[in-house]
Amino acid sequence: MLKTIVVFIFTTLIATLLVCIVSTQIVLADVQSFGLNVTNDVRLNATLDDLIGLGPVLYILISVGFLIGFIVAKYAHKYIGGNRTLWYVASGCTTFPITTYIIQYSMGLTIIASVRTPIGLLLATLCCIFSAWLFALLTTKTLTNNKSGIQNEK
Amino acid sequence: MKSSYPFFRKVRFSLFLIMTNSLILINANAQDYKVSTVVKNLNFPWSIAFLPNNDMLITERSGNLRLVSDGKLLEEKVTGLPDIYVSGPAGLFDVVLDPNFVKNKKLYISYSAGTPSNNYVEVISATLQGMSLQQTQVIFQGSSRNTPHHHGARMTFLPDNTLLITAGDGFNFRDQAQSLESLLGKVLRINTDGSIPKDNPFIGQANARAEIYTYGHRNPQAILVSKAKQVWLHEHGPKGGDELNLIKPGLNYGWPAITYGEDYSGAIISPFKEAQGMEQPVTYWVPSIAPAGMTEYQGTMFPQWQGNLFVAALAGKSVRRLSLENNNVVEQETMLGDRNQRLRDIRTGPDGYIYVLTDSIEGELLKISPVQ
Repeated sequence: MLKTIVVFIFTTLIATLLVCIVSTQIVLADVQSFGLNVTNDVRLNATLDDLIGLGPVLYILISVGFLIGFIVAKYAHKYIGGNRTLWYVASGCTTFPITTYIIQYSMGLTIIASVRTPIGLLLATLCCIFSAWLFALLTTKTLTNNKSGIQNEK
Repeated sequence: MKSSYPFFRKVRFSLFLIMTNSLILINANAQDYKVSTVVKNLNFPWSIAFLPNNDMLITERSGNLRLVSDGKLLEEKVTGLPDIYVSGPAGLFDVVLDPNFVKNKKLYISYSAGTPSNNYVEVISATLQGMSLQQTQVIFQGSSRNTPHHHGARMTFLPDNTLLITAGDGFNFRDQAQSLESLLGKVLRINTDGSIPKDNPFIGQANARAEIYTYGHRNPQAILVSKAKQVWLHEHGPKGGDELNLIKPGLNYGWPAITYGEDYSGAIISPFKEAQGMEQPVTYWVPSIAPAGMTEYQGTMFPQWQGNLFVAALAGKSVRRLSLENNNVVEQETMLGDRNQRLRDIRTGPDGYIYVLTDSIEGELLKISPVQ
């Protein structure tokens, strides 16, 4: 259980880091499209600023999404079966689109600017898919086969 | 008790001077003005227009046009408004009188129309006949969006009787503020029949909407033409970066390429605060005060405030009095802060008093008058 929690925190941090970096680059690409020159120094500083400024909000959004998604994945695998990793990847795939939709539906806006475009949402989703896959991979070693042959987490 | 130590005598004297000066300062401020409530029970009032007979038209965001006559809010509402999309900050917005209202009874009203997935700012012209709008005609329709936020929708007349309309960026569409193909995030200029003035700055330019007067705005919440015939505008920034701008045709005011604010999520919007070819604000507010409504005082009740700009603030819950010299803000005073009310609009009445609308489901019309 403790290992699962540690892995969850780790993979959520990885997802946050990746989404945050991608988010900054999308915003900077927009700024460049307005004709402004973004140097490497500016890019590095902006990325670091976002890790501090945007990171905590992203971490909360992703951790809540992952928590719900991973629980669903766990029980879906337990009661429906199939490939365990694919269930977690599916949960990673839905985390950001569903979170974005819920915020848009409830507040009438998309708070994370970088996912307002399909390409931005796709890239953020890919980051979450990778992190969810990593979670599935790192928690595989805690599995045992039960009598029914279905793998369950300890 | 008499102190025998010179040091303590100096400290006591200094304290005496500080207290005396403070009392004089407090007294001076207290004598400047008083605030009284003219009308209560307004449902999120948004804008005021003064009729020639000193009655007032007040828009309520919830979709009603109200009349204040002889200092009383009439129960009867002005009829004839079109269908209005009311949701959150979207609804009925501004009302301005035609410069020739005395003769033609025409007025102009901005509001949000459409549906949650496809809404836009519209402006109608109509004639006011009694408590009814007649000869209603849509003269402007803004770009479509799917959010109820950032409409702008403030209006004013230029001296040539063309109409300026502010347009917000729709929140989710901030990039379009830099696109000349979109009407979002702009100041727009049209004739009162809806046609486009032939001397608009982007007339004839490929891939540019001819209505555009200036661009690069976020959510302009006030626009006025000063006595010196300058166009002043203020706009909401994101978290920080509300701006007061001096508007000149054809110019780019920078949003979201340059900004003094950051996103509500904490993310950067741009690493730049200034750039070549983009205008700097005359002043800006960090943290945000959410300015809403503005008037240049040219009345007779407060001679000491002649030419000052007064800005109402929603988040700032106060009025900011800006004293200007050579188009620079040289002094800023916070007024009405003790009332702790969100303020939506501020206007100078034809009687020289300053009128303020509070932003509340139980909104009020306040009057600022000199202490006798």
